[in-house]
Amino acid sequence: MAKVDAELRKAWRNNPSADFDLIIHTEGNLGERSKSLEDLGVEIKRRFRLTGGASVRCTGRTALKLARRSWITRIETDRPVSALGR
Amino acid sequence: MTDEKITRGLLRTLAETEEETSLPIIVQYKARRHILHHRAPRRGIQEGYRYRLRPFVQMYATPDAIRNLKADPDTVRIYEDLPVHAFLDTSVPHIQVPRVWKAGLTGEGVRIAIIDTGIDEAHPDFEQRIIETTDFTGHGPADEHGHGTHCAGIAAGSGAASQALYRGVAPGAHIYSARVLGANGGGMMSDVMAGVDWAVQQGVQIINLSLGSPGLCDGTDALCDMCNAAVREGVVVCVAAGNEGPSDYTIGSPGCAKDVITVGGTNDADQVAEFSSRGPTADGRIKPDIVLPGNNIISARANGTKMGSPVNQYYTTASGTSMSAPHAAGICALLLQAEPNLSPQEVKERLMSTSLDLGDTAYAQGSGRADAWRAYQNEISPAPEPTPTPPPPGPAPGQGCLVALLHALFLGRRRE
Repeated sequence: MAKVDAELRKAWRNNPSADFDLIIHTEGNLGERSKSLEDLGVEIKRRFRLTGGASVRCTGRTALKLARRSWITRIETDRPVSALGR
Repeated sequence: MTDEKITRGLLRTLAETEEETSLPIIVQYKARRHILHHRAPRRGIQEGYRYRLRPFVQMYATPDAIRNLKADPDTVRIYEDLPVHAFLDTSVPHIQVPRVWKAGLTGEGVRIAIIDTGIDEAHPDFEQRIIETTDFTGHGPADEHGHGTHCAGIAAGSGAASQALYRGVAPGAHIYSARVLGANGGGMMSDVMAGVDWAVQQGVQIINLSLGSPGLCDGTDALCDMCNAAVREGVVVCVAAGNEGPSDYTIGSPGCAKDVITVGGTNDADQVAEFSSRGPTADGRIKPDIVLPGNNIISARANGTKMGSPVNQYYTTASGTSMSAPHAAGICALLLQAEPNLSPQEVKERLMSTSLDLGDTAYAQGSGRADAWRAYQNEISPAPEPTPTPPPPGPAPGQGCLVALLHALFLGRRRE
């Protein structure tokens, strides 16, 4: 499984200044990585206790840097969901 | 064992009843004049109401007296006089929930989380059973859409505002509500993940997710990962399959998550509803796991909301696999009250192995239509016929045969 989907990486490259809502999967304790994320300019929106990941917001340029971090195992888009009753 | 004059249910009850115990029964005679032949008091029988329109008599009788009644040539049939419950639409009796209630189970104290649009905390059907609410949308835990309240009513509504007419599957369960969807019924995957995370921290036993995102899914995205993690923590997770049917490969996330119970929808004819999303998943797994009613379900209406077709101030009608999933969540609550030590995997296996084959493909019905009584009794059903894997969606022109062949070779395994 790729760390980042090719289409998503392309979107970051094409829109380096645009904000992206992302979900990151990490290795180890996210708490210890928070400073590193903040230094990169990543806004941590939510941390997930069960899976150790987080939902974040950052620019495309920052996301490309983020993808190079070895302790980040996967980055994906935070997608819309909806109720399934009508 | 069958008997022409005594109903099957009464035969079962008779087999478990001591001789001195009187049972409530209804006796059907050939004609009203035959009832008059039996005016004299008879041993072991205490006669009650005589019906005017039909030749029926309500009475209490000992097992021996019932056998004598059966031998009487004027008797046509003897029925057990069963307690009457009023039901949430017709779906609850259809899946044999009242039989489980009759066995003393209502899901009492079992903790169910509804992760949805919030809940109407003032609705009479949830009185004193909402334990905790939270909000991940920034707009407060109240239900401004109606979807979450409707789902909560199916899983655990008491029917208090309808004299129990619209009673949910597990009316004794405790409810936890996390609002992750906005007033328009939409939200973000990360908010749903936060809701699941919160529910597990609250110590719930069951999570209901009547939501999802469309698109082909292989079960590896972050939301699926979170749902599988919740299952590993010991929580049963019931997820709506989606409403993108009848095409194959239409189950999105988190319905495609491996360890959850993915629930498709059935219609009023007890067939898989056309709207119900079909499997397989992008990686070739069979989904949904089971199907349950999802058409025209009347359940709790959040105050002032317009979702579905409102019946009155307190109830509204809605359709979709969103309505199917909380039926499953409610059955799980009944099972966990009966057998608190069942693991999520065992609960899932119980629902699947006891479900009824509707004669559809495994990618439409999963193991079949779940049945609360059969699950409670662990009445194993014969396995449905294996289903060939459908060709994958959307191959480029000219590549369809090759892709389909490769898919069949690598993924065309039979259902285990």
